[in-house]
Amino acid sequence: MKNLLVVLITGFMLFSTALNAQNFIDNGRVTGSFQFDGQYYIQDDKLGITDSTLDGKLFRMNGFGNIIYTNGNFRAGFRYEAYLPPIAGYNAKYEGHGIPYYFAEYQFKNIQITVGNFYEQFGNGLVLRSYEEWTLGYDNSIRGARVKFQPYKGIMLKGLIGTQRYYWEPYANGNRGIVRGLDAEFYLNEMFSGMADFKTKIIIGGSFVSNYEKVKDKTLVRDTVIYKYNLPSNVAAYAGRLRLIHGGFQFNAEYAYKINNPSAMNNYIYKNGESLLATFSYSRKGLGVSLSGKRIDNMSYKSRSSELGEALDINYLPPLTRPQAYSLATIYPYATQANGEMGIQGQINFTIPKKSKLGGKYGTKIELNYSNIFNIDKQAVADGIPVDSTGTLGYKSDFFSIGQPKYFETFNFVISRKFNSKFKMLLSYVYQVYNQAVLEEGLFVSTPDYPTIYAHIGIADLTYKLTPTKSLRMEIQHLYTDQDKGSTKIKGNWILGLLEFNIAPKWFFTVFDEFNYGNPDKDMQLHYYSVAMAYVQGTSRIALSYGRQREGLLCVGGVCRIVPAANGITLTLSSSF
Amino acid sequence: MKKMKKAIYILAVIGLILGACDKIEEPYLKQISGGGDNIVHLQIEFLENLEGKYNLNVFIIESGIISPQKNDEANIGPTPDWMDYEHNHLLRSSLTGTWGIELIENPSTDSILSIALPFAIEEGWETDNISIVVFLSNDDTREIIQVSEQDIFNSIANENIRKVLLEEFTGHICVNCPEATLQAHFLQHSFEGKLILVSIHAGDLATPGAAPYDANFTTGPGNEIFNYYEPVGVPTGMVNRADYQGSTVLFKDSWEPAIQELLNLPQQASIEIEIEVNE
Repeated sequence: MKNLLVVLITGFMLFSTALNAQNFIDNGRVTGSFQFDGQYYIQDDKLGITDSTLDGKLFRMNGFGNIIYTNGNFRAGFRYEAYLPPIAGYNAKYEGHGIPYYFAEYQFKNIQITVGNFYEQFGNGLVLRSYEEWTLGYDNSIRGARVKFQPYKGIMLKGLIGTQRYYWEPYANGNRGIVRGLDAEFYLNEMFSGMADFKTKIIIGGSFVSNYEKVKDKTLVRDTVIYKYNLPSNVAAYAGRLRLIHGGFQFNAEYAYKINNPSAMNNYIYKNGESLLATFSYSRKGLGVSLSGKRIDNMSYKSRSSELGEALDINYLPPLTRPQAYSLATIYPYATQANGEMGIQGQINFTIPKKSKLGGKYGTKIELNYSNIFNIDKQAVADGIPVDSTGTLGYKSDFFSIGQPKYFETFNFVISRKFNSKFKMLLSYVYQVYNQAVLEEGLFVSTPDYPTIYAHIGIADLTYKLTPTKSLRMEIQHLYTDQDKGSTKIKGNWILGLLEFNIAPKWFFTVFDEFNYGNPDKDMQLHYYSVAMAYVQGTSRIALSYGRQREGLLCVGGVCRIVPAANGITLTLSSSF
Repeated sequence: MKKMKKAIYILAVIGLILGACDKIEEPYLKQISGGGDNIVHLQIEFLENLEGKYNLNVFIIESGIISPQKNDEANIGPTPDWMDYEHNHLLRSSLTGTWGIELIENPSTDSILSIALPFAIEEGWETDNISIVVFLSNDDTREIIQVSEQDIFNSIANENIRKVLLEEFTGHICVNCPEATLQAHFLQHSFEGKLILVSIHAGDLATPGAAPYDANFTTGPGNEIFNYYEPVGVPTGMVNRADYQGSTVLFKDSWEPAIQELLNLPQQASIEIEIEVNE
C-alpha cells in the first residue's frame, strides 16, 4: 500500500507541470470496472464433497475493482483484488486481499512512460508476454518501469524492467528474477516514403529479453557422488518477426531463441530453446483460409528457475488449437507443452451466399478446422545418457522431424444457418484425439489408466425468436468415447441438454443438465444439473446459478488449471463505468 | 533517416547492456564431494507435517587439533600466543556443498528417508578425532530444524530429542575467540547433549599468515557461509541460523537465551547416524 502511494505521488509530481489542482479535477475522467464471483458450497457425497473437504470454507469469493484516472496525457490507476478465500480450484496462494496492480503513465509527444505495474507483449509473446486472465486466475504483470518511444514514423521501440507478480508475495531478496526487455518494430511502408504506396506492407520486429536471477546452489546426488549445478544468473532470449500483408493475404512469422535455461520445468537441462510460429492467411468476403505451423523446443521461460506452477512465465506460447465454447467439447482441452511440441492447424471459413439454392435466404456459414500436434523428435546427446537427463544438454532434436507420441488432434466442422427471421441453427461435429498420459500426467507412455482418448462430439444449437424481444435457445450435445476408462472420475459418454429463455435486453434464464451416462463406474453416472438466471442493466450484470460443476481442466490460450467438482450456488456481479 | 540511424544505434547499445546472458559451458555439473570408502548411513524421519523444501547437510568436523591461537584473556590461558591451544569441532568439509542437498518437499509424518553418503578422510586429518554433524535446513530460510552428531566409533549415545546447532565463527589470530569458544563448551556441557557445536574458521582473522599462524583452517563452505551471513566480526555465532531478537549472527552473550528459546520448540525431525569406516 505504501508502495502504491509512493508510485502515485511520484507519478503526480513528475507530471505536475502539466496539471494543477483545478484542472486535475475538472479535466480528469475516472473509469472503472468491478466484478464479484461468490460461491456457496453444498455437501455432495456423490461428488466426494464432504464436510472435511469443504473444511468449513462454505463460502468463497474472488473479486476485483479497477479504477483508472485519465487526464489528457496522464493516466493512473489501480486494481484491488480479494480472494476470501479463493473459489475452489484457484491457487490457495491467492488467499487474501490487497492491491497487486497500480500504475501511473504519461505520454509526452512520442514518448510514453509507465511506472508501476503493466502488461506488455512483444510480437506474438514468444519471448515476452505479461497478461491477466481472470477466469484462469492467472496474472504475471510486471512491476517496474516501461518506456515506449517512437523516434520516427513507423518505428516503435519499447524498453522495460521489472519483476513479475507472484500471488501476494512481494519481491524481496532475489526471490524471483528481474526481467529486462527491449523490443523494436519497424513498419517499413511508413518509414520510407518511397514505399508508402506499395501494395505489399512489411512490418519487421525484434525483441530481446534477459532475466537476472540470484542463483541458489542446487545439488544432485548421482551414483553416491554429489554434484553442484553450474547455473546461469542471466538467461536471455531473443526473437525476430516478420509480417507481410498483400491485399487479402497475410503472412506472419516469428522465430525465438533462448540461451541455456536449466530449470525445474525442463528437469535442469542445458539445451538452448527455440520456437517458430508461422501463419499464412487469406481472406475476402465470404471466405477465410488460414494455415499455421509451429515448433516449440524447450521454451518454458520463467523468472524463477525453480518454479513449476502456473506463474512467473516471461513468455507465452500460443496454442494451435481451436478454442471451444460448447461445454462437452471442453472436456478434453489442449494444454501447450512448453518442453516440446510441433503441430499444424488449418482453418477454412466460408459463407454460401444468401439467396442461393444452398445458402438460403440469409446465407449459410461453414467452418472447417483441423489441427494435429506431436512431440518433437528427441535423441540422446550421447550413448548411455537417457534423453532429458538432468545436468546434461538434454537431447538433440532435428528441427523438421516429428516426434512421438501424438499429443492432440482435432477436427471441427461447424455449419450455421438462419432459416427465417425467427429461427436459426448451428450444427457442429468435433473429433478429438487426446493423449491423456501426456496432457494430464506428463507421462510419455500411455497406460490403461491414462489412455489415448478418441472422442466424437455432436452439437446442435437452436434459437427461436418468439417475439422481437423474447427468444428460446436450446442446445443438445453428445460426446462419445470408447477409451476414457482410466482412473479419472469423469469418463465415458456424455449427453447435455440446455434450455435458455432470453428476454432482451435484461433477462436470461437457463437450465441445463450434463449427464455422464457412459461412465463405466455406475456410481459416477451423475447428472451435473444447473439452473441459472441473469439480469443486465446497462453495464451491470447480476447472475445467479445453482448446480453441480464437473471436475476437469479449464484452459484459456493453452494455459490450464484444474477445476474441482463442486455443488452450490454461484453469484456473479459485474459492472463498469 | 539520421534519427532512425541514431535510434538503431541506441537500441543496439541498450541491447548489449541488457544482453547480460551467461552461456554455460560443460561440465554442467561440478563434483563437490563423494567418493571414498567410508560411508555415513542416515535415517531421517519427520515428526511433523512441514511446508517447503528441506535440505540435508553433512559436515565433517575434527577435534583435538593442537595449533597456536592468539589470546587476550589471561584467566583462561597463555597470552598473547597460546601455542598448544586445542581446536575442537572444527569444520573440515561438507559432503553436501555449502547449503545442503535437496532432500524432500513438504515432508509429512510418514516421511522416512534412508541415505548412504560416501566420504574420504583427507590427508592431515586425524581419523580418530573425526565426527559427522548432520542437520536439516529449510531451503528457503536456511533455518535448521534438527541436528545430530556421531563420531567415527559410533560412540555418541544419541537420544532422540530436539537438538540445536551453534555455528561459531572464529579465527586463530582472533584474540577474543578462546573466551567465546570456552563459553560454547560451557553451554554444550550445561545443555547436556542438546547442543552441537561447529567451529567455522573464516574471515580476515582466520587467514593463514606467517608462522606460527600458518595453518589453514578455512574451508570453501565455511567461507561461503561466512560471506553470506556477513558477521560484523569474530567471535560470533549462529544458533540454528535462526533469527533471535532481529539478528541471525549473535554475540556470545545471546547464545544461551537463543539456544534456550529454540530448545523449547517441539522436535520436528529425527536423524540417526551410523558411520562405517573402511579405510
